[in-house]
Amino acid sequence: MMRQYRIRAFFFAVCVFAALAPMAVFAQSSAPAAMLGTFPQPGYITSAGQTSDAAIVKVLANTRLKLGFGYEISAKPQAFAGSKTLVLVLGASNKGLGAAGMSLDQELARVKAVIAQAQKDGMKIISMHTGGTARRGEASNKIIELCAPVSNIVIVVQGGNADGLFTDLCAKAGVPLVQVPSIAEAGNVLKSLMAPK
Amino acid sequence: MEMKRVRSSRGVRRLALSLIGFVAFALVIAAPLSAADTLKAEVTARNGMVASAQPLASAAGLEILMAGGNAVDAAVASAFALGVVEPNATGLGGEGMMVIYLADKKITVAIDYRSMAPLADLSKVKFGSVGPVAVAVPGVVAGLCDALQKYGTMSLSEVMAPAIRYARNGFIVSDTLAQTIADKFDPISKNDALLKILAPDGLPLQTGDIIKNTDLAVSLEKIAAGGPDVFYKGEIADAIAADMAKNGGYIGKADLAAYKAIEREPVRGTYRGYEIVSAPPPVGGLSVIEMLNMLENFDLASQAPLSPRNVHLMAEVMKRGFADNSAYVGDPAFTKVPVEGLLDKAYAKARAQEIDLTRMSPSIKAGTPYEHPSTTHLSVVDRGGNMVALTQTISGFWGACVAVPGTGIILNNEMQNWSRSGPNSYAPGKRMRTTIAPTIIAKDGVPFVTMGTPGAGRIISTMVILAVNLLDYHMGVQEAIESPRFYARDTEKVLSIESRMPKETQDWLASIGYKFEVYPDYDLFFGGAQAIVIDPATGMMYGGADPRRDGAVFGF
Repeated sequence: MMRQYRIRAFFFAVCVFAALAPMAVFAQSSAPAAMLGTFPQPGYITSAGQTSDAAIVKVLANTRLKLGFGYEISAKPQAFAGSKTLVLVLGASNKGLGAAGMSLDQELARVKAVIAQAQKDGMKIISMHTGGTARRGEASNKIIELCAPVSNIVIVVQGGNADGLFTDLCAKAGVPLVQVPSIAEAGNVLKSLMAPK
Repeated sequence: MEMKRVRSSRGVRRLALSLIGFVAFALVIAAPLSAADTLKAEVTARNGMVASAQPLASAAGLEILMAGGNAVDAAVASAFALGVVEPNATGLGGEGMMVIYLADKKITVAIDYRSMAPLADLSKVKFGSVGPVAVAVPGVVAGLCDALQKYGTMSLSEVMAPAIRYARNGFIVSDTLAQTIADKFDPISKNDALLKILAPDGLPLQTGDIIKNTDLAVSLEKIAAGGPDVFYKGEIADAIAADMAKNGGYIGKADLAAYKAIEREPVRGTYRGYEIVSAPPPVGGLSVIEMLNMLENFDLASQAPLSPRNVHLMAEVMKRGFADNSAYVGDPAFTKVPVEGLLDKAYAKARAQEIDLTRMSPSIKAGTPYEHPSTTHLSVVDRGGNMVALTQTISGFWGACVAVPGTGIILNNEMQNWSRSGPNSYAPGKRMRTTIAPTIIAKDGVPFVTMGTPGAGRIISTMVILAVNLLDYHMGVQEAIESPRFYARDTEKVLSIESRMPKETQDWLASIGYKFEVYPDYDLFFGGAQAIVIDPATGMMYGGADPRRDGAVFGF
């Protein structure tokens, strides 16, 4: 009886491990060791979805972390010529789209062009989602589905991945996912990825 | 302006401790008046009540009422406090309009402290919505000081004490405030003085953080000691003018020195036997009354509040009212506003007859009224029956996203509110039209409702919905505020609705041509209304505050 119970417990433990192991691979709380310091400078930040969270990442990167990244919330492809790493801050904002006078389709087209240019120039791409549940929804999901799979790494502040969308997209595309508890911690991960100037 | 001496006997400071106890008591006795389920409980009181968009601002007003101040004292205290604790929506760099009922004289007055275009000719300038160019001459300090001097009983330093305390000691950032910072962080991050206030450690303030603005505390202290001249002619004026000159803005010392608050006659109308007294042009009270006049031609109460027919009727009325507002309302010093024509019952009836009950009007133009020659809100009631309805704004959230270095003052972006042509076209020294509409409702000459809301273009429509909810459907004040909102305008292709609008109503409206922009259940797009209702029979006060923002009601 006891032996049968131990076998069942062992089998259950193996199943749990098998289910959770991929998530452990794709949802770490810090960047993979092999990627530390490998993203070349200079970096350039733009939004994907016109979210003002891009400005938050800019202030975090430049004021607090002194990374000296370029920034334009709705950068066109030619804006980041000479940059080596592109940071896309994900999230659709109706207010931001309205302020920029753009529809979601126009913004998706801009982001596609930005990604295409970055890939053509051999830039590395970091996608960041810092806005939590407020920056999720149908429109944001379209942005996320466009950007996450083509990124070299994705950094998400907890809450933004509550439904596992980032986990699924990154797992399918083989993109490392770093999940952190705060925007400040997302900044630390970003800094750890950047190569010295 | 001669400052009144601080009356230490009133012991504002001593009462601060007991305030907490009284507030707790008021909250304990808070109880819904109606059987309707509401997110927030309706608050009841007998001796005085303040409803504002932020709990600390309501507490500031209550503190003044309990210290013996009247409704004007309390409203001014709450308004200054709102400028500290709701800095995204109002402040010393903003403007407003208030309607005051004075019980002993049985009169109602309006104080216009709308912002004003600089005096130089800027007709070739593109104003935009952010940056120094978007800033108009602020009116808040002049308006609040004027109201206090004429109709208050306490000194400026007494009523400003809570605001100074909040600015110096700080307060907790709410979800709402944190979200407005995040939403506007791109332009905010381009202004170092504003960034210093909202991201003191290099990251935007988050929910639960403490926000302090010690520079603003010093500015408030200077005004409390020296009166409005400090702001319009003294060292704060110097700081504003210097920052404008340095960064390409157009407000100079002469513009600030020329600013005056204006006492105006409110606009008046009736709705189903109730007297409606509201804020006059260049703001939106006229259109609130015009829309109610149109609705008076229909029996709304025979159907449910959100029935398909009633929502259709109200949407059609809103569109007509907004069309007339755009065509006729502007600064009365620069344009002749046909006030009597727009308030005429026969004109409203003719406009109402244009409405087809079975289909949505595809396009609506302004009517032809008979011409006769002639963005936060707070409500306060005191035990003497005095009332104040006060709405203030810095236009967009965070205004022009410009703070004046060393003062903690955030400036408005009212210059974005000019129209390309018509009565609201730009002119030097002119006051631009907005939709704010603080309103008092009376029955048989006795005021019993004070209400208002922020919400940009939705202010007028929300005020109409509130009036109909209270007067046609006899909702409790909290239920009236929480009821699902909608908004239609002649220039909008869609009917904006909160998602709680009944499905059958949405389906029927869609069948007659409506398209929708659906917002979450309770969305601050539709404003953040505050209102107090007095039961004439018992004198009991009932207060409601809007869960769409951080609204709170306190009474004693």
